[in-house]
Amino acid sequence: MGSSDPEDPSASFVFEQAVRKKMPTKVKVGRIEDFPAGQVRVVDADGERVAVANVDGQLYAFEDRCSHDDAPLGEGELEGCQVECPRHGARFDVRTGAALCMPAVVPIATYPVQVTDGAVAVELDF
Amino acid sequence: MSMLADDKQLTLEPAASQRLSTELQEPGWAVEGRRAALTLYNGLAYPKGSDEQWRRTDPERFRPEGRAMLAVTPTFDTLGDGALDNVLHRSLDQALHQDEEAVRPFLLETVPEKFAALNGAWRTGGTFVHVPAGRALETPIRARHDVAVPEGPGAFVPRSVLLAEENSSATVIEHFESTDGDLLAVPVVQIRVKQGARMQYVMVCRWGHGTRAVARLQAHVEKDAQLRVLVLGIGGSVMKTFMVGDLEGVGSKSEMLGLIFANGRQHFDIDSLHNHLVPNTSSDVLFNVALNDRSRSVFGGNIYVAPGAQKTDAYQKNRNLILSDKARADSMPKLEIVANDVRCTHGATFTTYDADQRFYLQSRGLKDADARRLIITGFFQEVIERLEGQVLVDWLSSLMQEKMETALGLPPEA
Repeated sequence: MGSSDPEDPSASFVFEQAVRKKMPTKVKVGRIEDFPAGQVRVVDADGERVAVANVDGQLYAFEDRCSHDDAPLGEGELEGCQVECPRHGARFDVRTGAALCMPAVVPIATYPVQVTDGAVAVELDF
Repeated sequence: MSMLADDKQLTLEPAASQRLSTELQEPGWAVEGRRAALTLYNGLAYPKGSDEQWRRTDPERFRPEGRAMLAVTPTFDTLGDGALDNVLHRSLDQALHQDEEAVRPFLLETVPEKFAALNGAWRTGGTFVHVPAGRALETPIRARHDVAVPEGPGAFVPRSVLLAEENSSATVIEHFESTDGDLLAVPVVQIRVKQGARMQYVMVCRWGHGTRAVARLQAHVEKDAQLRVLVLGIGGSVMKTFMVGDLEGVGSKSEMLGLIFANGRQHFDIDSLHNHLVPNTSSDVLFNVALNDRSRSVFGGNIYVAPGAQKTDAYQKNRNLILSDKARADSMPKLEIVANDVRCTHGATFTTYDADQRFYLQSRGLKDADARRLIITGFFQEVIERLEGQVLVDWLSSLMQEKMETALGLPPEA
C-alpha cells in the first residue's frame, strides 16, 4: 500500500489511482434489438445518461440533457432526425447535436456509436 | 482498526441499521435514534429530477440499495507541530461511549431529507472532535478517511460531530480519499460553535473515479461565535453538497468557502443556505469554481433572513472559470428576506481563460503552461488565503497544484 505518510503524495496509493489520462471511454450499452427504429432509448454509460436514437436503422447517441434547462431529452419525441425537448420544445439534430430552435442555443454533446456483431457501444469523449 | 469485525459484511438494507447498533454496542437512545431515522427514511420519497434541488443533478446516480457497507476508522494527525492533549478526538463510534453527553444531542437532531435520514439510520465511522471551553488549539487536527472500494458497489456513510465549547478555537480538517470504483458516500458533518468560540473546518473531497457523494454540513453558530468552512471539491464523479449554517446567536458569523476544480466529466452541485435567525449576524459565501473538459458545476446559494433578524449582513459570491468550451457552470442565488433593515448582496461571474492575460504573461517570458498555472493559481489563492494558519494554506495550495497537474496535464512546477 506504500507509505502511510499523508504528506508524501507519491507514496499515497490513492494519488496513483487519481492521476487519469484524458482518454475516450468506450462503453457497451446493449444490442441493436434494444433500439427500435424511430425511437429513443436512454442508457447508462459509465454513469452518464446517454440517449440513443434509431433513425432509419442508423444509431445516433447524444447526451440525455437539454442544453437549455437540463431536461431529459430522451423522453422527448423523435421526428426524423430531430428530437424535441419535452420541457420547453427545443429541438436538436441527433446526428450533429446542433440546436435547431429556441429556447436552446447551445448544441448538445454527441457520441460516436459502434455496432459490432449486433453489440452497440458508445464512445464518450472523457 | 474498525470497530466492526472484518467478517461481518453488511449490505445497505433495513436490517443492517439495527445490526450496526448491536455491533457497535450503542446505548438505548442511539438505537432509538437509528430506528426513528429509518422510519423517516422510509417515509420520504426518493428525490426526482423534477424536484427543484435535484433539477441539474440526476438523483438516480445515488441509489443506495444493495451496496456493501464499508467501515472506515479515521486516522488522526496534526498539520504541523502541536499537542492535542485535552482535546478529545476519535472515531464517532468510539466517542459515543466516551463522551455520550456531548454526542447525544447531535445524533438526535433530524433533518427531513432522504440522504440525511439515510445517514441517521446507517451511519458508521466518522470523526468526533470536542474542544474544551477556553482551549485555543494552535495546530489544525486532521482526520483522514481512506476508503478502499470493493469489487461490487460500496457505501460509506460516516457521521462527524465537531463541538467547540465556549471561547475555544480550533481548526479541524477532514480529508476524504477513496480508490476508483463504484462507491456511494453519504457523509454528514454536524458542527456547533458555542458562545465566543471560533472554528475553522476544512473538508477535502479527493474521492476516486466512480464515487458519487451526497454530503451534508449542518452548522450552528451561537452568540459572538465564528465559523469558517472550506469545501475542496477535486475528486469523485459526482458530488452533491448541502451546506446549512444557522446563525442562532446575536453577533455570530459564518463563512462558507468553496474551491472546486473539475475535469473530465466530473459534476459538482453545491446547495448552500445561511439562516439568519436573530439580529446582528453576518454571513459570507465565496465559491470559486474552475471547470475543464466536459465538467459541470451547479451553485445554489440561499440566504434566509427571519422576521426580526435586523442588521443582518449577508454576502454571497460565486466565481466561475471556464477552461474549455464544453464545460458549464450554473449559478442561482436565492434570497428570502423577511426583515426590513438588512444588507444582502449576491453576485456571480463567469470568465474564460483570458487571452489578454495569457499574452501579457507570455510577453514577459513565461511559457504557456506557466502562464496558465499562474492565472489558475491566483484564482484559487483568493479563497485559500481566507484561511488562518500558514501551514494549512500551504497544504491546501499543494493539493490544488496536484489537481491542476492532473486536470490540465501540466508538467510539475520546475
